Amino acid sequence: MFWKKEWPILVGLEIGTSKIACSVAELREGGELYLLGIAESPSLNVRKGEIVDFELAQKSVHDAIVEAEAKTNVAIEEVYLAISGAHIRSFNSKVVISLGEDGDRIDQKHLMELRSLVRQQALPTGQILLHDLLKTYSLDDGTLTENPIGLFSKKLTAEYHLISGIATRLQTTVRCVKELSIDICNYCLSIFATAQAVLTRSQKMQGAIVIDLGAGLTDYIVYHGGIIVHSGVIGVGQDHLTNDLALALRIPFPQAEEIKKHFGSFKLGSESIKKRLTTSNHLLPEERLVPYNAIVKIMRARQEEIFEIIKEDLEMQSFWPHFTGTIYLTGGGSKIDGVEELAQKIFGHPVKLAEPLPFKGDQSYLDRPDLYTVLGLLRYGRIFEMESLKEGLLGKMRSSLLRFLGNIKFLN
Amino acid sequence: MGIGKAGINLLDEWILAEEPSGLFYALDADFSSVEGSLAERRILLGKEATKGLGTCGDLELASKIFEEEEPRIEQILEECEHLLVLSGLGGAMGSAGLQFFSRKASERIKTLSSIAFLPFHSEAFSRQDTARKTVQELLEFPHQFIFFSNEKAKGVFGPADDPLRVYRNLNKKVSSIISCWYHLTQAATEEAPFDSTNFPSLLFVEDFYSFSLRGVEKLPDKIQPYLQPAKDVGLEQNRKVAWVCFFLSPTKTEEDLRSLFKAEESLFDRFYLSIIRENRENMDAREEGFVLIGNAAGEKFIETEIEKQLERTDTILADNKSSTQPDDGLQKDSISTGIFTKGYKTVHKGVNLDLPAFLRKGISIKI
Repeated sequence: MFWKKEWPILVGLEIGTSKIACSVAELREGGELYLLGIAESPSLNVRKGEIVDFELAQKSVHDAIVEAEAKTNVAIEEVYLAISGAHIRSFNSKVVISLGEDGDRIDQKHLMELRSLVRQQALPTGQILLHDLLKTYSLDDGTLTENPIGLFSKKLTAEYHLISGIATRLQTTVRCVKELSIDICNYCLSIFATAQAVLTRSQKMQGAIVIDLGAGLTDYIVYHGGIIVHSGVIGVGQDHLTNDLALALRIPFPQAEEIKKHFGSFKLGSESIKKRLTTSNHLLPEERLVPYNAIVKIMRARQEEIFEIIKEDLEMQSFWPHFTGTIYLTGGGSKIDGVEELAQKIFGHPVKLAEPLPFKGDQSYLDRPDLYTVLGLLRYGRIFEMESLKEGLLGKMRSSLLRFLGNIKFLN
Repeated sequence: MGIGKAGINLLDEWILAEEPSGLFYALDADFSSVEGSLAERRILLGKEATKGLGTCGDLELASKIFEEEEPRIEQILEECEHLLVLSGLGGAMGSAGLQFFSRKASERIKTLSSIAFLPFHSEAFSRQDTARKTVQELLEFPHQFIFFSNEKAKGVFGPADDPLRVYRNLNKKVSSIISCWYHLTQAATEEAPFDSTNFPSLLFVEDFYSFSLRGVEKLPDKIQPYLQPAKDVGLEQNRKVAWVCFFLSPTKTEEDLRSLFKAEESLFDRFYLSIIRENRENMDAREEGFVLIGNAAGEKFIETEIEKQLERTDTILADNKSSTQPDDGLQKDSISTGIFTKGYKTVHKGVNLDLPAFLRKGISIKI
């Protein structure tokens, strides 16, 4: 039996490749989040973050929601939904407006005009805009500013980081949730949510890259000087490591996954070390002796390639030569032994395992980097809830946090 | 009996669709292929030789495995009257298995029937060659063979640029043929045996059309084109074969259907009409049928297939003269992508990232 909660309830939902995760929290006084619980259910027929079998995936989502409701005694009616997929593209865009020959005092309507212009950007056919995240404003003399209101200038330029995706593929995910009679309060790019879960403001200011080593995808986001300057998604994830092992050792995928968990490492050891492979359910015809280094080489080859692709992309961006921040690894893949050293070798920057910003309440998320995205959705949702509480129905949005994050385009 | 990956896939498709009672066998040298089957009896062959890792397309090894495993296989055949073998002919186990059973079957069982698939043109040339040689050998035996060409199924059972969907849809359709065999053998008696009068003795399928009879009082008009003379379907004049099979409910009249096909019968060198009455407990009566049109001129069929493949290979070699890929004879397209066969491909700068990284990077792994 559900009862009406005293505080507003926030729910995050992530439809991932390995699992569906649903987080529930109360938004208490002063904006404090109290985590009521996290529910998970195995993900069926979601590949690379995208649904390939609608009915099965929907059943998994339903199971996760039901479990979350049972765990937390909350009736879930709306969620903040994480969006991802290899089709997601990000790019930077500048828009300019002229304020007259003699210049003018900048006010809110100029900022709205710039936002309207950036949303009218032509996108490739079939793509829709997911996020338009403000990076910075600049005046005619080149001054950069976060808040140009009240300043004078002849022209005003705004630079945005835009994230788009293929409409039909996004709609599949949206429909999967809506057909369960659950509303979607807002959408959030998965890696964006992850970054909210693990980065402090100070880390964002110093410069940070968050790389989420997920089962189906690897995504990353870059903060430089406190603003998002770049993001990306690669359609290769930890399932590819498992698949490579399965194909090399000629064993079924579940056995390869077990081997990855028990023996997986990126640290090359002595050639003479051999490990005996066994599985708990003894489905192999016999125990096999496999050189440990073979497993390491197979996994390293794949993970190195993933990091190299990311690095290749980062090197093409203007911020990279000046980036002095830290790289934070998260997701299930961050638990593999030796991943930090491997990433450090490839990127040449300090690498750490990401730690979640603390929550009060349920602590089951600790040491679960695969849950940071669904936790981040709660932090993301908090910002919107606090704004609507503060300003009321007729208020305008004037929060520095919202300017920092940018407004979100709703999907139909 | 499903032999090899393709055969086991087809068998599983049928078991899912039909939910039959009875014993069905999955045979392979690859542990993962056998283990995943829905068949009740799953037999891993050649454990000593391959350690459950498969034959990697080695036809000679596969043949040797079947010879060595003959005592085990004899046990399977001990109480068998009618055997249906399902296999693909591009690899090793399917081809070697079908050859083996063809040689041994006449000693032991009443009828051997087979449904076998010929590989896509895009598959490695060695696979085309294996298929051709296997078919040529099989034609020496007096058993019932139905051959499907995956390549001819393109555009019919799925888009031409999506061979996987074609393959899957073809499997689903072919499972109705397996049902036909199953029910015909179940209904066989001394007076009305199951033999080559009610199941095609040799058929290379050119056209395959299935349809529903539910609520229909006469045959759908649209199957008529499938029963046209040879010139419409591009077959040799004197070797054309048609097989029409219906599953009827007790309410449909058999006599009407037989008389409807009287005229068409004379258009073909061999015309089979199978009408099956099923008693399916707790299941609706199935009212459907299929029409197979094909060619019994196997040699011509295969020659034509291989000629086309050779032309295609020559064209590719001519176009890729300046290719930087080493000519090591490896057909990289035939390397598996495992679980990523389904879903969207990940391609980065022209490279398919779903293929194993260690293979693409040429990293040698000693296992």
